[in-house]
Amino acid sequence: MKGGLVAAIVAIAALAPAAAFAESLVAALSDEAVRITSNFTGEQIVVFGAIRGTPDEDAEYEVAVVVEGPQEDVIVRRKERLLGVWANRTSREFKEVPSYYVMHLSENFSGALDPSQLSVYRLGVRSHPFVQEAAAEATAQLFAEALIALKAEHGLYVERQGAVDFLAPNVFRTTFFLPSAIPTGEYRVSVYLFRSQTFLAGRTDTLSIAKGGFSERIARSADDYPLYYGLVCVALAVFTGWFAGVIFRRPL
Amino acid sequence: MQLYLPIAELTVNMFLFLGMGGAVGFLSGMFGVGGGFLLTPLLIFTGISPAVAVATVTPQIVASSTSASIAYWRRRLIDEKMTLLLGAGGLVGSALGVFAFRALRSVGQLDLIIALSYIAFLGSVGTIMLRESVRALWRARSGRPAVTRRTGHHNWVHGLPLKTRFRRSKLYVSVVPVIALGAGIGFLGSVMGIGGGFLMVPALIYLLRVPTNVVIGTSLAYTLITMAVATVLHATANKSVDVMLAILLIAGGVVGAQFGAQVGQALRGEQLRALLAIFVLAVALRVLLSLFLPPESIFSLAIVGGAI
Repeated sequence: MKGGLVAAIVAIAALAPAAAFAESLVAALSDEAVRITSNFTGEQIVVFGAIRGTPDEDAEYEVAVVVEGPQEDVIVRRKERLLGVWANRTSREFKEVPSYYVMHLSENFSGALDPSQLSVYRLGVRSHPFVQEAAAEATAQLFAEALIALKAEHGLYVERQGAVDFLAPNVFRTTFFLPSAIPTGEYRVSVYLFRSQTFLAGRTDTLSIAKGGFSERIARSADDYPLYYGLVCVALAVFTGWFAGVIFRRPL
Repeated sequence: MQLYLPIAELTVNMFLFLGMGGAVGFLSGMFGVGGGFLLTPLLIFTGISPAVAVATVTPQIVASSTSASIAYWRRRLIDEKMTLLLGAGGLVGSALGVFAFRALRSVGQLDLIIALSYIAFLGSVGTIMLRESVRALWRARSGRPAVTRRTGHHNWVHGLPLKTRFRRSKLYVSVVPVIALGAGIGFLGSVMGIGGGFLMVPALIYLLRVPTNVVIGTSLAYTLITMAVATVLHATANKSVDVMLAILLIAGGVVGAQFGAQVGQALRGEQLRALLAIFVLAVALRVLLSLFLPPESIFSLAIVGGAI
C-alpha cells in the first residue's frame, strides 16, 4: 500500500507540469478499498491530487474534495412529552440520504462561491435533494436539519475549511477519517477545482468499503443463512454453559 | 483491546463487555437469576442498539441457564412434564414476542414499550419481593416462627378443566394455566430481552402451588427452551444476534457466575431476596428516570428496512 501510494504521487507529480490550455485533474486515493476486519477502529484515507494547466499569478486554485457514502432511506423521529413521558410522536421519512458526507475545502475556498453556486455543483450536504425538497415546508426542514445534526454527531457528516493542503501550487492533499461505525458500500470521492468562482475541472473516483475477513464471514452467514446462524449461536451457548458446568462443577 | 462487532456494526472495547458479562454473571450466580434484566439495559446504555441488545442477550441467557439446569437436573429437581408444557406455551409466546418486537421497531415505539414493560414488571416484582423479604428478616430477628404456607389451599386455577398429574411437583392441575403461563412469559421475554425467571418463579409458587424445591430447576429448564427458540427467531426474523458480542458476554458470564454462586451460598435466603429486590428496583428506577428526564436529543434516526 505504501509503495503504491508513493508510486502514485510520483506519477501525479510527473504528469503535473505537462501544461495544457484547459485545466485537468489527476487524483489518487491511498486505498481503493477498505476492509472492515475484527480489529477495525476506523481508517484514514488520503486523497492526492494534481492540476494540469496554466497557473495564474493573480488567482490561486481552490479545491473541494467530497467523500459521499451509499444512499439510504432514513426515518427521523421526534420525541414529545406525553403525560410527562418522552415518547416518539412525529416522524418524517427521507429518501436517498447519503449515509456519509464529508467535504474538505482548501483554505482559500472561503467566499469563492455563494450558497446558490454551491447547490449548482451539489457541494455540501445541504445542496442534496433531500434537504432542498424539505426546504419548502417548515416542519420538514426542521427534521432535515435534525438529521444533519445527528449524522454530524457521529462524524458521518463533516465540512472542514482549510483541510485541503497545497504541497505546491498545483499539487494538493487531504486526509479523511472513516469512523469505525461507517456504513459499508460503494463510496464516491469527488474532487472539484475552482478558480475565481469558476469551475475548471472535476473528477470522481470510487472507494469500496466492505466487511472483510472474519467479520465478513459472520455478517454474510447471518444474512444468507439466518436459521443456521441462529442454531449455531444456540449450540455455542449450550456448549459453553455445559462446559462451564463441567469445569467448575457448579454447586446449587 | 478493540473488537469490531459485525452485526452491531461498531468497534468496542473487548474488556468492557467481558467485564459487563462477568459482573452480571456474578449477580446471576449469586441470586440464581438469568440476569437478562440487568444486561439488556446495560448494553443499550453503552450504545448497542436495543434491537441487537435484546437479541444478543438471549443466547447469553441460554448459556447461563444451561449450566444451572444441568446441576438441577442431576439432582432430579426439575419437573420434566411441567417444563415441556410450559415450553410448548413458551414456543408460541416467544414467536409472537419476536414478531411484536419487529412490528414495534418499525413504528418506532420499541424503546418506549421495552421501558414501560421494565418499569411495570421489575417495579411490581421488586416491590413484592422486597416487602416479603424484609418481613422475613424482621421475623427472623424477633424470633417469631415464620408463617408456613397453607398447603392444599386451592385457588381459582384449580377449578379449570383438562387436569393432569405432575408427579414430581405432586400436583393435579389443569394444563391450561401452565401453557398460558409459558406463553405469557415467553412473549415478555422475547420483547424485553429477559429470561423471565423472576416472573416465572413467583408465578409457579403462588399461582400453581409448585413445591419450592422444584420451582427453580423447572423455571431454569423452561428459560433454556424459550431463550433457545427466541435466539433462532431473532436471528431469522430480525437478523440482530451478534455472535461476537454474545461470546464476550457468555465468556464473562460463566466465570462471574461461579464466584457469584459461592458468595450466594454464604448469604441467607431472605438476605439474598432483599438484595435482589433492591437491584431489581434500582434498574426499574433507572429506566423510569430515563423516560421522564429530557432526552439528550429529541430526534432519532432509523434506517428504513435496516436490521439495526
